[in-house]
Amino acid sequence: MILVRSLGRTELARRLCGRGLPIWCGPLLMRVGTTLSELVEPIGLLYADYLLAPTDELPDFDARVDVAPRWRTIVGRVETVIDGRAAFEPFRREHALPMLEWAMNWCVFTRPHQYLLLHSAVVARPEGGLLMSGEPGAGKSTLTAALAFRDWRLLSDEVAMIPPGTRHLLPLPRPIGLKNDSIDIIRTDVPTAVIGPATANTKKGTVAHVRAPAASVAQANEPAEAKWVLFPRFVPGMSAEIRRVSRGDALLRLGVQSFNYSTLGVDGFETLADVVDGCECFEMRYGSLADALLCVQEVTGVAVPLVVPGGDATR
Amino acid sequence: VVASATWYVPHAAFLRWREWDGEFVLYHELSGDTHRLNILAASALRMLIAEPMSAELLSMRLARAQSPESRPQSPEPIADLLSRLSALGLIDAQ
Repeated sequence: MILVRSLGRTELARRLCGRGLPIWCGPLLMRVGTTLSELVEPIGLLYADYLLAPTDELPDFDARVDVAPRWRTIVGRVETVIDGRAAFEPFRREHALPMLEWAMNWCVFTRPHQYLLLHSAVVARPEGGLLMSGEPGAGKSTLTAALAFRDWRLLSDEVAMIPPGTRHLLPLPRPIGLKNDSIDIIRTDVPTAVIGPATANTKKGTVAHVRAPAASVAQANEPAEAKWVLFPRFVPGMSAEIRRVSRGDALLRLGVQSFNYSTLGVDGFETLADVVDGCECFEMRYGSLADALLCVQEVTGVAVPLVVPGGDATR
Repeated sequence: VVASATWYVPHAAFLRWREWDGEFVLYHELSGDTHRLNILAASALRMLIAEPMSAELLSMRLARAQSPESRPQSPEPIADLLSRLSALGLIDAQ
């Protein structure tokens, strides 16, 4: 078993530049590559704890960022290449790292239709898994990052993967994408978190990625049983408010946020219905990370420390 | 709604049901649509699955099945309900 961190920078660069770096993340084998030298260190940093797969293993998808050919765009732009084909419009080279992450997200959202895919953050405790679903800006990723460093296991900050006919949440613990104020909130809240370089002026503003906790990556083959569904909504200045949501309402809201509920047809319905059947469902509105953590504690009955060693969650 | 029409459920075998606390969620396998129904709508649909019937007969059966406080006070709610279930493609008239 070889981890990415065991590769020296030269070897990492050689593999990224060549066929790509095949890494296991939960049930998926992702191959990531780039010819951009400035991405070698951030990739090495964010994926240090992932298991390398044999180079001849067939990946679920292959995502890379390379310099775009001159006939395709203005000189100096780069592009994402997915499974050997240019995907999306070329973009500014300084956006290469988040674009690579988003290209991998896109692959995860559109490829593994053997699973029901919900657009949801997922963390877990031995007691069960917590799905958090909400519109962009709801604070899912910030809360996910905060919980992932408070004894909750990170399964994913983007997608719940559920094999049809089960209530298993499969881990896909990739780096957690933060944007704008959330970056400093997590820096302050979790001083020990490893955060990659921030990229300014993207379509989402300034973005940075938090390395998934090593323990979560190491347990990426251990599913969790869905136990709670939470619909968070960040409202600046608002004091915390929790409301129980009916299971029917939760099913419809999760279905709308799914990437392939319709594609899976009756299997999607039955699986999602089984998930909400076994869960308690809530929505919450909150105005600070500290309030959100207290809400999670109240909803789950699992003690959530307000402060991690050396941190401050009051923002 | 045609008052004299007989209402029926054309694709009953393709409906998947779940119920939680008096709230029903229905998946229509042929349309791929998911619907949330209250207890009145779910009861009406189940009665029409069991036996096609007119709006008047359905109204009487529902009134008999419901508790006094939740009984429809006039035929209009049933006509409106049938119209909405029809618009969703769950029932049809013959």
